[in-house]
Amino acid sequence: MKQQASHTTSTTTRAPRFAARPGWLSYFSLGGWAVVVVAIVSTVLVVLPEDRAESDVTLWTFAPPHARMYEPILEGWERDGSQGSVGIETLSLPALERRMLGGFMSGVPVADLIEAERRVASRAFGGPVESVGFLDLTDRLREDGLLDAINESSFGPWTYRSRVFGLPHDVHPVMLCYRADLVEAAGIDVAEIETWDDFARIMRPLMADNDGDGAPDRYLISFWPTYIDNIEPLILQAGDGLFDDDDMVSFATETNARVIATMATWVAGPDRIAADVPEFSAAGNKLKLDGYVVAALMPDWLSNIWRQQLPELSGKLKLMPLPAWEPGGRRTSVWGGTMLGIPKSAENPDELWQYAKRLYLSPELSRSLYTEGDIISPVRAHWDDPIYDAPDEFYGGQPKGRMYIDLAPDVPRRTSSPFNKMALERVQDAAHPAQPRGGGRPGPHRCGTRGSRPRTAAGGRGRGPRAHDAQRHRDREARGGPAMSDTRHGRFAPYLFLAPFLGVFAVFVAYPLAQSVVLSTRQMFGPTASVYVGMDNFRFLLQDPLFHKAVRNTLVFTAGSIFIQLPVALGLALLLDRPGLRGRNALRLVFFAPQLVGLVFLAVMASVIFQKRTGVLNQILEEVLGNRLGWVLQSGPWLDYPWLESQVMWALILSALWMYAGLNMVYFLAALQNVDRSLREAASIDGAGVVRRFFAVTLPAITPVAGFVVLLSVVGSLQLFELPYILLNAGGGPDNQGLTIVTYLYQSGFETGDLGYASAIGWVLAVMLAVFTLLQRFVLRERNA
Amino acid sequence: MPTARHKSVLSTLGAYAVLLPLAVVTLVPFVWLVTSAFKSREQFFGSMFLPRGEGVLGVDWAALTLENFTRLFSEIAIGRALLNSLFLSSVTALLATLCCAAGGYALAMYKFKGRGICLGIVLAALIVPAPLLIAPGYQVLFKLGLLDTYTGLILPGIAPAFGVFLFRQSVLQSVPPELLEAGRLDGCGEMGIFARVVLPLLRPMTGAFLMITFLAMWNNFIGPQIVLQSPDKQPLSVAIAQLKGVYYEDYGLMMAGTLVSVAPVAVLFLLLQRDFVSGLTLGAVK
Repeated sequence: MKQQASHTTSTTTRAPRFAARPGWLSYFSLGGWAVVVVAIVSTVLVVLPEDRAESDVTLWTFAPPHARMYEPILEGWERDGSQGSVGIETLSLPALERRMLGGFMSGVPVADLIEAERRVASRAFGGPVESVGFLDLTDRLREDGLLDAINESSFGPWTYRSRVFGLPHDVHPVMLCYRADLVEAAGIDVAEIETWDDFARIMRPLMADNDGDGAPDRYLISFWPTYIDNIEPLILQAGDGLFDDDDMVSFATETNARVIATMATWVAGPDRIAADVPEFSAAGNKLKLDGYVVAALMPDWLSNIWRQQLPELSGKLKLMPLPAWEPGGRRTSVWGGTMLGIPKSAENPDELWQYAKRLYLSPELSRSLYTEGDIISPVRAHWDDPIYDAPDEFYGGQPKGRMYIDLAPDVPRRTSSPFNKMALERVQDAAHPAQPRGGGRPGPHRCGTRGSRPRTAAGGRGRGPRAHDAQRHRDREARGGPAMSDTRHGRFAPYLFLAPFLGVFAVFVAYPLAQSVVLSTRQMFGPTASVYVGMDNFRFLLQDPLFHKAVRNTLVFTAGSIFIQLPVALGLALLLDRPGLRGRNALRLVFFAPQLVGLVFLAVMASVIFQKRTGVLNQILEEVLGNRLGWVLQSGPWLDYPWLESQVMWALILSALWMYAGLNMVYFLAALQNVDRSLREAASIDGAGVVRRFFAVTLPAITPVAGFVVLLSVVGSLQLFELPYILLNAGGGPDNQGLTIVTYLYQSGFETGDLGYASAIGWVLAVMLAVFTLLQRFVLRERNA
Repeated sequence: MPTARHKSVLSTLGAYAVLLPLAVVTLVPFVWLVTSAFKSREQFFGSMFLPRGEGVLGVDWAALTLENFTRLFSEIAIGRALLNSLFLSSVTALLATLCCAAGGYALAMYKFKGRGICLGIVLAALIVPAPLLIAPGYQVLFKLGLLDTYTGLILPGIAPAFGVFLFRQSVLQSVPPELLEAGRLDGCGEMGIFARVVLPLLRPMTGAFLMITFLAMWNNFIGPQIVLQSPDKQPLSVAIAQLKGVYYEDYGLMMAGTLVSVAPVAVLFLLLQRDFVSGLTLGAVK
């Protein structure tokens, strides 16, 4: 503002000419007007009335292939007039989850029929059985004889306190898929394999070191210690599972200990046989084509995905029952699952039950499930269909459907507990040999401890209200800055200008926030049941080791944002602001470009970059550090460096750097337009160096905006959620290395169903943010003064 | 002064030496995106970037295909999705920019009763963790009858606190109070001063903010699915996100969709970047 003061006289004299300029075109620039035009045209097009057919019944699903299979069947009903019309809405899983929970928690209407994947459905199963948002189907199932007509274990994930809340969509038995071409070429007979020990011993000759670098170029099975999706089937196969019949955690059994110990030998040490070849990833599929692993766990639905994505492997693969954990043991397991449920709020449940039954039990659906999705039906009566016996050319001409069906009755039963994912994450930590830990670590947190959460009297008091008071006080002090318009001019103008913000704030922030204050003093069990616990949530929070970890991680990320990302952004802005730099426009677009693509793309991209063997990052490290500088550093470890297991925070910081440095660069660029170039030139002529010029001229001019960018970065970093949510599969990553405060809030509130505890976390975070904000304002004020 | 010129050439070269490698690193994922969009399902996992073969530069050019794009337009109602995206993003960006600029201006340039409280509210709103509001916020939308309406998605986003604060800082930085006085002497109303004097002075920031709010809505794929229930109201981001399922993934189609959705915002960036880099502000004041 210093330089503005020096311009005062000239401004006043020139201003009238400026204000008198008639051109309303000057309010915005070309780009701004382009947005205005787009807004007007699209509004006209959007509000044009459109015919929309209303359906009698709506169904939500999360899988486009499901919708494609159901549509012809539903159209058939409509044609013969036997049932009303059904409108299918396909949502992504997170959206379906949030809409479903929104409905269950606050009575907002949901679809008449909801198709839910297992992890999402489990969100509904907590607290008293009356508070489950889905309709209890047990009696209907019994009356219609369906409890016997459908494969028994398929009910498991939808059974809560002995009541069934969903109609099963599938069985999803698991087999072992192996590269028959490699196995047979080595003269190995898989019929000799009965147990996992047999598997490791008999397949061993296939672990080949082709390039003679001392490390195998082929492993026996795709598995790694953070792969929950495979850890769970293997534990379930062994028999004890992680939950008892009452859905309480009980995984400290001898069988489970043996399974976890064996898994650890698979992934590390001299007997290592496993390597990671992830599903749904370009990198993983490349490794499959290369034959990097011989075998992988394969449920029926996955056999379809391999068929779709890996046509080159046709005829080279075969399936066999899973090796057992001990002779005579179970030869299959289960992976994935979906149900169809009727929300309790539905108006005519009896009619909807007819719809649900007719769709899920129809022979047509069973057939298309298998022919289009390789999925076998849970309806036993349909298992006689000869389509299951047809030889499958992709899988070496085996009668694949029959093999899965033969295993279906042995499929283990699963829990419906929402704590399942957390429990599995603790198992994953135990199987993680890279980080050996002592026995003193607190056990699985909050799992199965409903209502018996340890609470002590120790703890601090909330600091929220006082922090706000302090802030208000400070703002009062700050009032009356230089040359501020006072209320004489347009008494109502400032209120008018602020009205949109205040209105939106009152309705969409303040009101919900007030509700969360009430919630933070309650412990909730599932969507609707709760008890008053006073300040206990806050006391527990202070000694919750997971929360401490979340705070640490979040602070690390925040430090990364401030000390790495912002300097990079400012540096880019300064370099790009140089006069006479050719190609500036293109370069600016390049650095901003990551902002143009969404987080969905970032998730795909991260899997390509941070993947161990095929990942771009490790390939570059291997090339540069391993091969080029091989005389300094030994080659080898780089290619298999597990970023997403051992360096989760770095992976997050680097991803954020790519994604957000360009965004902050734009703020800085906008601020730099205010630096008086003549002042900078004057300083330059005076012989000031680059550094001095920056501190003397540039920095003071951009301080108001720069301070804001720092504040925004701190606030955004402390609220980090979407990036890890997408990159770490909605969890905290291995050993919760990537657990952030908001991820923990989300997990507590929406995964394990205690919105009260989640609100408490939110309020502690709000206090932390308030402290940072005040601190930052204080520091900046000091500098300005 | 030859030495000065040499120095400046040298420092420009230095700038390039820093910028170009960084640009390459930043662009690698985009090369992957573009090449992936033109690969068939069979080719997709065979190579990192382009399929290797006999053609020019050792690339099998004949193996590239437009299949993903034709499928994108035939299988998905992408025209409607694109229109929805343009509508939601442009309207939200405009309203948010105007409301935030107005709010920030009021906080920076007026003395009025409750100003301190208002600033406190802005700062408080900045620090509210968003997930805390997911459940009760949804209920509010329901009570107001805003579910499954465009309004329900646009309205909560028209005055983000960070925007108000950003514009307050920006006004403090680039609007000289003397100019406002001059406007008043000229007989401009308060609204007129905001529109004719303040907005043009804020152009660098309005350009940047338009871009940022436009993009935030453009890439938002969870919000629309929660608030907007009907499939024909969903924007492009949702259509693309739905190509990535739990048990299902169609990479080629997804990358083609991402490429289509990047194009309009890239154009917008090129149009708007002149605002936040052209130094209009100083030209107006001096």
